Amino acid sequence: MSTAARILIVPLLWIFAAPVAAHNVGVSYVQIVTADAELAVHIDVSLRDLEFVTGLDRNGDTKITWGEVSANFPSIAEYVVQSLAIARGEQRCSFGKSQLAIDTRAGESYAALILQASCPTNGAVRVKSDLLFGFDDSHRTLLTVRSGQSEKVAVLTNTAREWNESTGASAAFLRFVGQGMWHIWIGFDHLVFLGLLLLPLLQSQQRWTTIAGEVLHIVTAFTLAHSITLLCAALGYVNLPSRWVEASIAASIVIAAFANLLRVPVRFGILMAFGFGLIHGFGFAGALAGILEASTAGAARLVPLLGFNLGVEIGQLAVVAAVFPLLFARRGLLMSQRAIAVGSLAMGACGFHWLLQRTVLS
Amino acid sequence: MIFTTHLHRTKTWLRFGAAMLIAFAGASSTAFAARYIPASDDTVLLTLNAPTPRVSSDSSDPSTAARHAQELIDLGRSLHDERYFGYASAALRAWSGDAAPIPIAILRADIAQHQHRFKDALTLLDGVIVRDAHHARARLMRASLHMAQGQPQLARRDCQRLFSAGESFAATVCIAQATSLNGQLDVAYRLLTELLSTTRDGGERHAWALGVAAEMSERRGDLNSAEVWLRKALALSPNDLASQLQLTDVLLKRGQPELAIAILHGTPASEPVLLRRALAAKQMGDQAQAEAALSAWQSAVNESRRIGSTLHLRELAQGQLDLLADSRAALATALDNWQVQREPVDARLLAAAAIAANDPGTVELVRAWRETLDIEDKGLTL
Repeated sequence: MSTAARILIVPLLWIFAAPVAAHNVGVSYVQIVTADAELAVHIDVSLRDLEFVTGLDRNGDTKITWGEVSANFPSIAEYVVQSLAIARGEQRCSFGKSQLAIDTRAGESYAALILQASCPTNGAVRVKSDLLFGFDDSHRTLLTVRSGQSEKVAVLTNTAREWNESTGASAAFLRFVGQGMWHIWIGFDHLVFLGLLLLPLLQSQQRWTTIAGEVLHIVTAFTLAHSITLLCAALGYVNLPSRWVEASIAASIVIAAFANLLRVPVRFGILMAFGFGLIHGFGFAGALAGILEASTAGAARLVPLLGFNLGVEIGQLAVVAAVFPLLFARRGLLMSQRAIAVGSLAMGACGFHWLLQRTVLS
Repeated sequence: MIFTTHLHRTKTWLRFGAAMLIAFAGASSTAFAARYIPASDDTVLLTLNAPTPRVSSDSSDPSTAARHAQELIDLGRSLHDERYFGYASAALRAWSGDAAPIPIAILRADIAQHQHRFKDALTLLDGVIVRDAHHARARLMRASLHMAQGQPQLARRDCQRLFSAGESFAATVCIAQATSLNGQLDVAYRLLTELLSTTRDGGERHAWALGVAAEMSERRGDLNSAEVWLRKALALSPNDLASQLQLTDVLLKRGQPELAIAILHGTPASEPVLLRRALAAKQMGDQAQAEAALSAWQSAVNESRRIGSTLHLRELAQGQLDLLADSRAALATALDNWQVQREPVDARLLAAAAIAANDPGTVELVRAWRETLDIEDKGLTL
């Protein structure tokens, strides 16, 4: 075939053969559905992994057929049942008979086992899995535990083979707290805006407790406002185009800088913190949406949402707590109106640049 | 005849019934929608490209385990299947301490390097070299790691030791590469091309040297030569993913997305491969294709995040920058990547992300890096 012909044909081929992403590690899936004392357990193990562990290819022709898989069913079931321990409360559940089917995941065939497990009590679910971990250091087991409407997801690894219904939830929560803190740290524009609102306090001749109170007012107003819109946007009540939101955030910085130059009173700063905080909240919602999976909807978003918001607050307060006392200690140098004007101009210029970048330049 | 047909039908219905039952059992979860019972015992569900390596004798014997692990690693490389590296790692688990026999420490370093755990790899190699200062493979691996981390001066020392180990070809390539990263690109390139013009080796090391030459050509702004070197490398080892990806990047830079896609044809759809397909589709300008390729890459990234496996940070940053036009996310990822690897390509990416995100501090950081090492790179715009 000539090169030219190959060039024409190849693109067509890959487009029609819809590319399914191969995993970059081995993955198995365990899904547990609770119903009173009975559990329905679905386990998907890749045939390639099972071939490595139990040797499915009986005739050695490098082709694994359904006949070979079903002939190996007893040893597959035995391996899986021995590798997996499920308990409720402190009592271990016992597995009943299993059924075998085939599942396709990420373009690969999986042996799908369906088991019933009966448990002596109804307590919190605990899972310990050794599935594949003895054979593959990088293996991941995606665990899903559903009871009624709630669904919990966890990833088990070679070094973290156990999952506990109660601790699993708090770990997920903490992860979102971390994400929120990270976002405020890299999302520089939120900090610039807050900085602009706090800057005029430097000229205050009040005692430090009074100033700290004013800082608290502004930060709380900002927090309250962006929490409201973050909640509304993340739960799907309001949806604004991200371009518009990002541009408005930049505009809020420009306006806050102007307000400083015009020496508006501190009370006005609190109003701005609230008003523009509403817009910044939509920005946070956009960042959160990037982290959450599309499938997480409705009430399931509430826990990540609260965690993320808490993280944003912690991150924001940490920055304020670290920077403000420093500035405050140096206020002899900074408190002149000129220093505030220069700071506001610089930050306002940043905001103006972002505004251009997000509107006419994008 | 009629009877057998009837029996066959009954069997079919039974199978259908069983399938329906299982489908019903699984219907509660959409994630299990693909579950089925194959129609026949002869249905092929998986074709292995090679027989699965088995441990023939005692797996607690270090030399048996090392041989087994090496077999698994080779298979993982040739099939582009990361899983075999996990299998190999588990096969060596009994020797995870500092006192692992040298051949096992080398294999563990190879696995760590492949999985981008560069620190672990370096620690293992340091341990080997302390015990055997003339270990050529350890020296060469450590030199490559230091170069990947932007420390050509450290790499040079290991390169030089390869001469005394009798590895003059590897030593010359190694020194040329280190020198090229340290202010003498043209001299190094001339040295390497002279070496390549007299080499009749044709093995894996030859292919590696061709890849190094291609990287230098790219930095000299000579994409045509880069393509020639890489096509030679692929002729020697057609299955080498690194060369395939490198050539794809060269072709994309030259604005030849059709040729780029042809290189990746039949390659398993890992994140790096999917990213390049999406970049090529975007360049080809077909909206529908570009969107499909983009979402394939994005879902691979999301899946890696979901299962908590190592993300390809370099590829992620490039995708965030060039496909998603999210310069801030790209900058954050490129900075994370910069903590792990500092090759010229990483510097280019970090600079591009920093410029797009308008972060002069980071641009300055890349500029300082370039000046400290005196790196020449026509592709690095600051």
